Amino acid sequence: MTHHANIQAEELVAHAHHLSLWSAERWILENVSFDLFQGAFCVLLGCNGAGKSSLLRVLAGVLPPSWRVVGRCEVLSEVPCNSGEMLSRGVSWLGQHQHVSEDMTVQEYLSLSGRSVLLPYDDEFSARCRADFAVDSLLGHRLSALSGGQWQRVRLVQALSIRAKLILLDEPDAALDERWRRVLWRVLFERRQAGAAVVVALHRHLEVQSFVSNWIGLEEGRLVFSEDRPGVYPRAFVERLFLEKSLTRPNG
Amino acid sequence: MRAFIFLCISLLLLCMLSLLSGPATTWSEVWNVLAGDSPAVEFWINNSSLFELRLAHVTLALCVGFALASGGRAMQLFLQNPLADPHIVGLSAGSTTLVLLCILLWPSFAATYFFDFIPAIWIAAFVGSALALVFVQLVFFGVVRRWGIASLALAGLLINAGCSALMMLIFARLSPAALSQVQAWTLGSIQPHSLSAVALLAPLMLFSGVVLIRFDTPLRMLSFGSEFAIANGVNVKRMRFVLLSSLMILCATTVCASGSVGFVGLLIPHLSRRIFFHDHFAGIRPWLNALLGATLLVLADLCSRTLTTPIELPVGVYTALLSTPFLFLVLFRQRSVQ
Repeated sequence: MTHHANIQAEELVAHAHHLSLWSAERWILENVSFDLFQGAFCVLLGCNGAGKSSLLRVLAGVLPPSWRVVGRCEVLSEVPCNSGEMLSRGVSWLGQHQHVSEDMTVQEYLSLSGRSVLLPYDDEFSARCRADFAVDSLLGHRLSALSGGQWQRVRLVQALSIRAKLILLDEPDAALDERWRRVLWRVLFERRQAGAAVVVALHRHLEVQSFVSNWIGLEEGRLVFSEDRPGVYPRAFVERLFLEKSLTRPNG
Repeated sequence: MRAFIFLCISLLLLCMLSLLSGPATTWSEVWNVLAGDSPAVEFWINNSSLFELRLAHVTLALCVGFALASGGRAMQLFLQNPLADPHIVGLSAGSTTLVLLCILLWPSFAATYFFDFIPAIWIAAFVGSALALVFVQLVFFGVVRRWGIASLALAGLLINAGCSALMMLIFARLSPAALSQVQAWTLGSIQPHSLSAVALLAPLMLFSGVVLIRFDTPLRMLSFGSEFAIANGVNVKRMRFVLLSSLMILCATTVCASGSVGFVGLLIPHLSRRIFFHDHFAGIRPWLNALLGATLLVLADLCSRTLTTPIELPVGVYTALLSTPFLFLVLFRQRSVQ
């Protein structure tokens, strides 16, 4: 509970009650319920295809047009929408992949998203974010010339340059080496201290276990595990999820 | 900013040259006017009807180039496809086909006017474009919605295929006289129009082009996928509505002015992207792109009127002929720089 010390009132940031998601072919999520409060650091656990990314998309309002949400889901006391208003409500989302069709420089890419930001855009804040990920030296590079890790850092800066109340990151550590992963965890920890709620889908959860406040375990779209005592690492669940399965069912 | 001014000045000079020259004027006469030879200048002052005709022609070429280049850039960004152009969603094909169908059904259609100055052809072009847009929306919402933005291109493919088949059928049924009239138009060449008609068409073309330019930032965000755009505050549904409605105006007006001119919408965005690749062009790149399109079309139109007299080849031929080697050169130079 030590991390919660400097947060005065805990506000409900995200709320899901019997939330299901239909993708026009199958149920991606079934009956998922959870509550997330201000200052939470929530890690979504689950095998590939368990519905981690989809849950983040529901919260961010970026679902494909034919997908349907059933049940109750509220983000900052409003239903998520896909009309581009989530950003101005204070929700920042970083997807897993990003397709680059229009080649531009890093500078142009960052200014592109900065320009449309409807939240009060804080130059000092974004400059600090750029400095954290050492992106300033990449500003003149073209996106097509970046390495995987550099591109991921640029994308992280883009997503973290605003003062969001809810930060949703889908595998933010992909392609990052250990140094930048440490930077990322530090930045996320600071954001959380400042009052934001952070939700990450991760596979390298051991690196963050010391400051996770909520664990949510998903299996084939169902919430099978939930732990919201800070500092408690769900070892038994993780072992059942990843280790035993891979030993007993190598193809599964 | 220097590039912007340079483009404006070269466009202006080209327009002046284009105003002076044409199949009825030899190059020595043009030279005499430019040199300030008084009998030659007087000839021009006395021949205002010829001047008006050319003014209308050059204005149309300029606006068509402006509109098509910005439409091409918008579609390439929106569909996340470097091969897209303004004709890809089939709106131009729709309007061309309806015009041809009307000409086939009513032989006097081409000479019919509403309120004495709005040709019936224009109404048909707008209606055809709107019908094609309705079809695109039906396909998008009804059939292949889950494919997202790619389904727009698919809907366009359907319309383009259907319309080109229909056009072939109509060509087979048209009388030889009517056929020779419409063939150059369908291939894309600036049509003779009166100045009052141009005063009606040109603002519409410029308007649709400027709307697309104004929406360049959200469109560039869309080029990273609609999810990225939504997460960064773009209302993608509204964006699609704005884009398709201005594209409808753009296609209908350019078809009225010049048929469907190819290659401008496809090549100019690539060319402008390569020439103005520096960061400091980022904000004005869509404007430079549109101006480059206007310049190229005025130049192509000048070529088509002067190089092969008395035959006027379609403008599309010269736009391709001019921009392909240029694009190749730019690409080649960029490779050697890297």
